[in-house]
Amino acid sequence: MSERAKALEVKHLKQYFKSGFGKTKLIVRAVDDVSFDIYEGEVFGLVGESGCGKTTTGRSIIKLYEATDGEVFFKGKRIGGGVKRQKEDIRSVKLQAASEILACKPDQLKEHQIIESFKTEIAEAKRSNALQKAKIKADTQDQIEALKAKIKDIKESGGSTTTITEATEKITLLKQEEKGRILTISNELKEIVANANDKRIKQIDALKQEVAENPQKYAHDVVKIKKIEDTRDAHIAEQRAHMRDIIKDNKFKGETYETMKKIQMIFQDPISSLNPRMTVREIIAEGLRISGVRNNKEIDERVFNALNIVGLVPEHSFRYPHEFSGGQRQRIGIARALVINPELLIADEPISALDVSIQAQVINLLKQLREKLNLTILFIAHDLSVVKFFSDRIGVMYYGKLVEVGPSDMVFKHPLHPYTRSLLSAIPQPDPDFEKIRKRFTYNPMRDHTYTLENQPSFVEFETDHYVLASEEEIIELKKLYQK
Amino acid sequence: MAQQRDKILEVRNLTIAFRTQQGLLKAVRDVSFDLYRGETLAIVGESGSGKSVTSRAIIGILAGNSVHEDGSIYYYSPAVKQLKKFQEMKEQEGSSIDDKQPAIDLMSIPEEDFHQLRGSRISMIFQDPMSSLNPIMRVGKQISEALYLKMGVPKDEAYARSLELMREVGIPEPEKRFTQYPFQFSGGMRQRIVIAIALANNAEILICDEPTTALDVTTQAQILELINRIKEERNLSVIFITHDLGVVANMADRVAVMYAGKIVELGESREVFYNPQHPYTWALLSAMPDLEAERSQQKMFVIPGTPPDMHFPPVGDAFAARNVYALEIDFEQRPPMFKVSDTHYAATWLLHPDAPKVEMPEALIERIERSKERVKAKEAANNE
Repeated sequence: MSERAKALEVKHLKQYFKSGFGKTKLIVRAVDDVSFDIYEGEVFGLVGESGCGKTTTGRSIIKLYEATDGEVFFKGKRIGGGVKRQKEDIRSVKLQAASEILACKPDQLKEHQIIESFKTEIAEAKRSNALQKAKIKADTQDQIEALKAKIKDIKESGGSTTTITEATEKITLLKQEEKGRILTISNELKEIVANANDKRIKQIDALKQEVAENPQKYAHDVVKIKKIEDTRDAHIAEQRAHMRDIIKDNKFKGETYETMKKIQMIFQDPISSLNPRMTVREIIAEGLRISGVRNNKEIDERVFNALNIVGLVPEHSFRYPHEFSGGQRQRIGIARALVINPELLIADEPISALDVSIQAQVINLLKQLREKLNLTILFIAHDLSVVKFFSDRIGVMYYGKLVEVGPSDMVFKHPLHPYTRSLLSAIPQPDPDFEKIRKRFTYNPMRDHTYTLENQPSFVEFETDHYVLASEEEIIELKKLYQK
Repeated sequence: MAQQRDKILEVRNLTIAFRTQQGLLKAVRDVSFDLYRGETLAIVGESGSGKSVTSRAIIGILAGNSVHEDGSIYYYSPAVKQLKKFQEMKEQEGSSIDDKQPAIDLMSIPEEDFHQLRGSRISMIFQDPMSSLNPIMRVGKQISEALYLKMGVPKDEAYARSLELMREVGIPEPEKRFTQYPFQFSGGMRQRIVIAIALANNAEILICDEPTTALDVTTQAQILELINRIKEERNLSVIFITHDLGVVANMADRVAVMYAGKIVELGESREVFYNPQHPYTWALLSAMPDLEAERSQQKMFVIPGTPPDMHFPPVGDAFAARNVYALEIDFEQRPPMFKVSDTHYAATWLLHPDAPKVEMPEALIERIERSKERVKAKEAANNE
């Protein structure tokens, strides 16, 4: 398979969405580290339930969103990506280098240690102080509660008023006592902090004196520091250059722009994706105009040609979208994508909004186009039966992660991941007797996986070209299951 | 068997048109079927085949420009005794009305009377749960509103009953969910709320108008299971409208296939799926991609052409123009419903004794054979 040319390579693509600040801050990991390749002339189906990130993946590829991290290559040329990884790398390298440099400066290292131990001492004292305070408060509270209950009892049973007065006085006393105890321990804390501070100042003074006395012992290892700094700077420069490259490639300019034109998109809803106030000709020609075609004759020619390809006639070009049926509107959407002569088509649920008989028409049209124009198609859908019919390979997504990738027949015959199995078992089939005995599996990640920190799942090739996200134990079990 | 069952709805020769700028649009033409207590009847067809219009006629929410040309919908239920119209009729005709089996024509009763039936005896679930719920009203209120506005239940009791309903349709933590807004629910959960509202008043007939089209397969499966469960528990009669034959096979006891405003085939689920008679049913079944078949490069079956313009409905069989098996008579005369078995009818001239013998497409025969084998294999595996 490796000899086939790759049309699209997606590497560790991440797309996070942030919302809110502070406490309400929320990061949605819509696409979390997804990698896959699409070979030239192939149809790659991406399936999963709504909200699993399949549409977001498509949109990140065509750069309707700015990717958080990862890279996307089209025909070997990078067309987009994010720089989160590089930023994080630079930060960690800086921290690492700082601690290494500190190790080469004995005086500063010692000072650092003194300050650190001072900080921990104070933190410890504060913590125990807070605990003591809480204990005192709880104790007093308990006693007061008990007294109050007693007072209530006496009142109900009509006891003597003197006992009540006594109890009330005792409550006031307890409260005063509590105040006093809290004040004492607060003062204790203040004392501890002051002492520790004195100790720190003394230690640092002593250290400075010692350093002044034997400068030899505390000399900085200049050569080593220089070396560490150099490696750090080189590393950072490299990462920064990488970042600059990605950011440059991310802009719709020059080569990227030319490459991006080769990728076009078809949308789900043929009603809302067509501007109702534009004629079909204007809708289809818009992309051409934007890419710099000004000659009306050429525009007409190319628009009519695109209409012919999708099975409409040039006369349709002066009508408005509402005059067409659902299937025809979807054809207009396809013609709009085709007029730029794309090589990769991202079809985002192009048939979900259509009737069964019309679905077949659109799928057959896409199939013809793919053969005639040698198109590569990324087909995003949730209807597995259509995906199976149309795609060469399938990727199954679950909550931002790709859980299984493989040739369509294999995925349907040997579904490996429990989520794929549950998806397959949920498809209703036109067969009443079968429907009565069909059992549906549900997928519950908490129940179906026993992942621990040491035993994280990874993407493994289970059989030729068929990958699954699983831990080692699960792979062994799957092998047992399919050996039968 | 079907005759002995309790009939709840009887649709006879229903014909409905819409006034449009281009003239009368014949949406439903001469549709007749029965609905029995506790059964699910699925109505299948493309968009524009009149399946939604039929169901809207039953629940009395046709658009203002509709014209009731002919036909009637008889509703058999003790509930109709309270209706004014029924009492009037009884006074006028005296003994001619059977008190034991009270029935009324839903097309003839006034709007005031319909208020007593709609939502309380006959309920409906729509396709898009987001647009059938009020976005600025808490869901709890939307459920309890159905109780205290329709049934006059006191508010505190309505609250308790709403929580019960939410639990019944499988919403976890109903106390917390009660005060939330529709946008805080996922698609499947929203559809559950809509079902809870529809069930609030002990409806007898539940009309589901493509309730799962907007949902994905796993959620769809859950909602279908929920509807099936509730149907069993409450002995509901369900009219299930969809264009997905897989869903039909899962849900339906009986199936009506509609095309261009007419029922072209009506029968029990197994009869329609394993022994389809009308070429349109063949075409619909063939257009479903087959999950079991090896993935081959052959084309998916496409029904050629487009549905007819219903302003000018075709004279004969409406499907004739798209039908490769069409006979000459199909273009000239409307085929009657031919009887295949006691429960199975189809409107195609191919069933006439004089018609040439035409078998259904080979690919479809193969597929039905294959599915029978698969069922056998699966049953054998289950028995082991």
